[in-house]
Amino acid sequence: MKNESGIPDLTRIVGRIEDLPTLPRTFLRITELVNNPRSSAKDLAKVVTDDQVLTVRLLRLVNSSFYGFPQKISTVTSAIVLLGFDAMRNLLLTTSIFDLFSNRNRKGRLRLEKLWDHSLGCAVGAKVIGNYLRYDKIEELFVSGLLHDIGKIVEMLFLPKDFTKVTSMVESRDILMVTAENYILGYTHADIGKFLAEKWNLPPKLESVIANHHQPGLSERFLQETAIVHLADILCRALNMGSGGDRKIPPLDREAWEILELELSTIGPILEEMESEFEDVRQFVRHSP
Amino acid sequence: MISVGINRLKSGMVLAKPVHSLHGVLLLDKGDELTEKNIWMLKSWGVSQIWLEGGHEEKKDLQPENKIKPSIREELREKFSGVLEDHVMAEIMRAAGEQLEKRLLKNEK
Repeated sequence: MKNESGIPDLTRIVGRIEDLPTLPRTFLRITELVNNPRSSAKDLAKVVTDDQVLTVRLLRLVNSSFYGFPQKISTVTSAIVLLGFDAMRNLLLTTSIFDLFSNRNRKGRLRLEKLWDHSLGCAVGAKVIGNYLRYDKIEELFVSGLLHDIGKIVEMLFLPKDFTKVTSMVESRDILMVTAENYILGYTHADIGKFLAEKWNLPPKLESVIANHHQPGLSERFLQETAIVHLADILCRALNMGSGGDRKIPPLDREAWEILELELSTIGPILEEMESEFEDVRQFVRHSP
Repeated sequence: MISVGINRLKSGMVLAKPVHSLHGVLLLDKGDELTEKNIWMLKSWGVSQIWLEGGHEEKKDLQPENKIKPSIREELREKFSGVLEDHVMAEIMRAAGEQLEKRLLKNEK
């Protein structure tokens, strides 16, 4: 797809995007606490409760069927104890990303909303597939799914001229966005996403998924995670969950399918579970303040 | 012999292959008949797929009659055009059709 000499293109993008979005300060503080083995749930709770919006979102999430705890959880500390530190950081990343999506001008709003739903569908798909594979860090998969197309948002909001060219080609020829990007720009949303992930200092696993979700074979260390999101991307498109900006379904990467070792007969049940979880998860993020 | 996901197991089904835990412990043997209790046990061991004998009545359960609305089928075909020679993609399309049909019926109600 992409030629090997694609690096100069990235520097060109860097030059043009002056005010890339940044992650909120609370995220950095929480990352710090999560990485410090001496911090306690109490320390973390203090940072969270300082932020009302975050507090509401956290309690909403732990009480949603995404986690399915039997009792109602009403304090931030118990939520943190139940979820664990990593899950907390992922939650915060999720909400920060949500803020990025809920952007300003009316014109692009519908498109952004559809992309958000697509990302959420992919996140739910990654979670469900992960459960089937008994993957132990489900939240990580969820966040990976949510962020896999982050490059498209950047393109939409910060490179509007290029984005318009790409979308009009996607519409007139009914092709995948990644194909049009390669043709018109010489780089793709995956490249932009990778750049952003580096700039934000996201964990290498996330960066790898974002960078390689269309060509999972290139993901050396995190082949399984990338393969999961690659498949989830296909499945959520099959179920019409939102829109990634194009109508075609990307081809399934053989290597990715093989390393997942899923039975063909699991596809039906996986889709069924995605369908039943999607609306539920959507409720909790959509109506967050 | 057919492979069935854990959530579709019912008591009375007969195993075609032994079932082991992740660590290789034998949980149930070939020829064992499933009961409510050992289905629960398999779930608690994190087993996700098992092989069952036969496949007549179960197969019907796995692949219900294809009664997908033409509009849904058309839309899926267009979306999947170019990738259907892959049998996995064909299965994804078939299974997605079922879900979309269910969604439509639910929304009509």
